[in-house]
Amino acid sequence: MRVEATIPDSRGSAVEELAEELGLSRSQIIDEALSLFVKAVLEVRRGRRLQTVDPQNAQATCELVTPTLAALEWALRPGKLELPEAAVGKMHEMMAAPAKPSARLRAAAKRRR
Amino acid sequence: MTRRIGPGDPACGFRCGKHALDDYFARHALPNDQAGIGRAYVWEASPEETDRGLPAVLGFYTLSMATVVSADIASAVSTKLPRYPVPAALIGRLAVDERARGRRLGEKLLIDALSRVVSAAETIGCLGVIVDAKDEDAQAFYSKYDFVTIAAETWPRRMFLSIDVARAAFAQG
Repeated sequence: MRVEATIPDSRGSAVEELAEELGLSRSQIIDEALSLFVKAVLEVRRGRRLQTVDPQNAQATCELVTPTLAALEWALRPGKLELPEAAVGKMHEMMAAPAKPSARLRAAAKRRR
Repeated sequence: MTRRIGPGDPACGFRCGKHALDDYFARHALPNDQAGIGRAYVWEASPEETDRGLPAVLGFYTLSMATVVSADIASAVSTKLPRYPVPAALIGRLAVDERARGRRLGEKLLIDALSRVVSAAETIGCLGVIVDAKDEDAQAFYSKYDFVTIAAETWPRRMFLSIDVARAAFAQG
């Protein structure tokens, strides 16, 4: 299968440098990276976490996260929130007819971008 | 920018002036994060700020997922179609160190949290964001950013923002 994707320039450069350094094709690198990502998603869905381990002392050194893995992980254990029927009704109304974001919210979000 | 809470953070001397929040940060934020109960994100002070005596963490917030259902039994047995449970993100706590006030850090933390939720909603089901406003100041703060009080009878006030509103706020243009 041929896959086309848009990635940041810095990531593309890193792939090219790795390909050069390891003597691999870009396809091989992307294939292995995707294979690792699929494995990571499966592990997180099982409720596990991904960490690197220092072989000298078997201590975890850092946790591997991406925005998607973090989202999956914190969605795994949703708490149940019971609200009065009127509150749930209001939420449904707000979702059915969402207001436009206020100028203040848009300006704050723009500063974040 | 924010980062996930780390082992050294709880002892950094963070204090927002509200005992419940200070206690939560010092004792529960990290264990809850590590247990996957609720993610905690911190706003780190710059080296210059810590040199001036500010703590290493100037603010924090927590995020978790919740499924919202009606507590009204009558609605569940009524002849009307039951409302479906609503998956929503919950900003459980958000606080700024009292020595770092006046820098719009509260706004920055809230927008950072909304940004994470909007990104997460691309991957998982999430129809909105719920916050618990602990007092009138907090309620006024969240109202400024389009949160609407949905349960006004009790404290903390439950407030809601539809994911469509949050997504539109971050959209270009």
